Amino acid sequence: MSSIDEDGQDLTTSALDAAGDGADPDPYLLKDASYLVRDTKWKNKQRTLVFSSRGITHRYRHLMEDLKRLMPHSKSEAKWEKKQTLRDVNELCELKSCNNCVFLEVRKGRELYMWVSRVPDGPSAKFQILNVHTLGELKMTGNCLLHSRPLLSFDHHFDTLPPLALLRELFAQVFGTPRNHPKSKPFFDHVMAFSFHDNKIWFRHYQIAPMTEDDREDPDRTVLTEIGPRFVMDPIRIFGGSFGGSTLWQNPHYVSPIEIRRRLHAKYGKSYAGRLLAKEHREDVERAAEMEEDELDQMFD
Amino acid sequence: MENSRIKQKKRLAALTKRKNKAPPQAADESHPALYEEDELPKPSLGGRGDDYPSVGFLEDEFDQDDDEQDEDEEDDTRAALLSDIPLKPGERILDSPGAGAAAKDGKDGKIDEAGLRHKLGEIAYKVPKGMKRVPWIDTLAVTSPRPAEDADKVDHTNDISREKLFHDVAHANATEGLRRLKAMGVKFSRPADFLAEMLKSDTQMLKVRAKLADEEARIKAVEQRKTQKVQKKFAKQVQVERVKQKQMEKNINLKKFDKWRKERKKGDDEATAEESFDRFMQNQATESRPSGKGVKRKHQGDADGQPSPKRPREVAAKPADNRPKKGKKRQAKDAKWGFGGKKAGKKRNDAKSSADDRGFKPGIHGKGGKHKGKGMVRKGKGKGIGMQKSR
Repeated sequence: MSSIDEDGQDLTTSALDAAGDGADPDPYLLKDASYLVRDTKWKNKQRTLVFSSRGITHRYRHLMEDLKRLMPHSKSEAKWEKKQTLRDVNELCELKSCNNCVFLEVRKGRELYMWVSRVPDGPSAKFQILNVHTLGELKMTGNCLLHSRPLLSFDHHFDTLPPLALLRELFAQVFGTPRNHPKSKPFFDHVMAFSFHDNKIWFRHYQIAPMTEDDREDPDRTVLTEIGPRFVMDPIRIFGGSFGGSTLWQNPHYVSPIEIRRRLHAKYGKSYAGRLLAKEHREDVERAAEMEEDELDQMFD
Repeated sequence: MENSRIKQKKRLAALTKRKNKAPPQAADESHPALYEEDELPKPSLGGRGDDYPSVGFLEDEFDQDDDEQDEDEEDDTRAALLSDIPLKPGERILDSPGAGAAAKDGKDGKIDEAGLRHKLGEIAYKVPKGMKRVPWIDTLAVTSPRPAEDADKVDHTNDISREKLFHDVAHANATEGLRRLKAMGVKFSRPADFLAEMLKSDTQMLKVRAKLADEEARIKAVEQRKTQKVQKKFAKQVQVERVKQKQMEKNINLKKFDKWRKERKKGDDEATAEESFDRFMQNQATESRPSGKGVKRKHQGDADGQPSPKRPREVAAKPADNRPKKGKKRQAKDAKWGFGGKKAGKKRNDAKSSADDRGFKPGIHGKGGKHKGKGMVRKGKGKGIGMQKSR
């Protein structure tokens, strides 16, 4: 306490001196008080362009809106025409002064693919998005401040597997809110969780709340409630460039939906193939059962 | 030593044979979907290998070019040589590109570790001047340490255990993150009076809460219904028990009353019927009715504690319980015809009753008596008009 009092006296005396000189813009010398200065300068200028291809369905559109709402550093753009090549997205990002891009590509009005890219030099990753649940669903009861900075949680696989280590850095820059972003709010009340499980990356978003009112500012007494959205990212490939380039990693466990459908159709087609086989088999049996003509057959005719 | 070398040679021979036999484009043909999905050029990176547990350790690679195959053969032999030492799960041979390629579905996982590392270095945040590392507060990313082995065994088809795993990992990481924030002196909990726009709007949260309340109410209702069912069953049992108890009491009282009547019939008692019955009733009351209700009723009967004299018949019908009193009309009827008791045999005729002809009136019952009524009297079978004609 005493030291503060001394400081206070010092300040007042200097203020009086300053008043004697005339107009002083900083009578209390707050500029020099390093303990009061907070680093509020927005240095990390990440910007992410979030948009989709034409043909997006309502659920996926909701997911896109949710992602935009989660990222104060995001920018939006009109739907991408399918005829345009993906490489042109880089130019678009440049026009929008974005250095990251989340592009949702919808195929056949069913499958959703997500490109997460660092523009213009890469890397970029392509995922298939499965099991989408949006913020609009009533089952997830959590809530958090809009545009407060999320903590990012990665499970241990992101340390051990090289492709995932790269993805972690990419996600942290694309999805994480940059420090001191003008739109961001203070306090940390939510966490985005990326977990690698069953060869897929599972995205979950939880609220961090104190257990009781008295447990504020106590990191060990918190409760996590899911806020949403939730989805599963099935990684397909990681490319060296942005929306293309050499393949750095390809997921051997990924099975495309077309392949899945092909197998399904093959299963249904099996009944016909089975009939053909049975017919062939029957003919074989009949042929084998045919007896050779015998001289004795004609004996009593 | 010699032996093992021969073994290796044999293995190598078998390996090359297998390779020559294999169709070079088999994988591409059988899995068109692999390249249908991507409009990008086929990956031509030679370097492969990944961290998945190796399934096809010595699996052939059909989609390799010819000149690459030679190299691959060398790699495979090296792998074969090394394969004599059994690998533990999770282990892999680092410098053999073919190792650990999970040839699931005939596809190979491509990996360019050097490229990945290079790119990671390219995009990672640069360490600011005068600092050892990138300040954590810039990224807020927390990676969990390697957990116990059983964490990987969680069944991904089981929603609850899987979600619990995600939740637990996120919770541990969040706690770690908050600890770091606290150490930095950054406040992380939102004060109650800090009101700002939320991620979910108020209307949305209202809906969420309404749904929660609705669900709770439903669960409550179901539980209530269940308990009610049980209670109903229990109450029924209690009722049955009570009725049984009453019946038993009645029987006992009736027996006592019968005993008293028999004793009176013997003629030992000199007193009048009323006096004797009063005594009997008093005995009953002192003997077996200490309950409040019975006492009350006794007082109701007479002001000075004396039970009012009643006719024996009526009391027998009311074996000392609190049924409503009979009306005058009913009493008169009971006196006239009696009531209760067995009914089955009463209306049956027996020798005595059939011999009794008090109720017989010849005008009504007798043959050739006076015919009452308007209808035609039938003559009897075979005595009609038509019958006579036909004969």
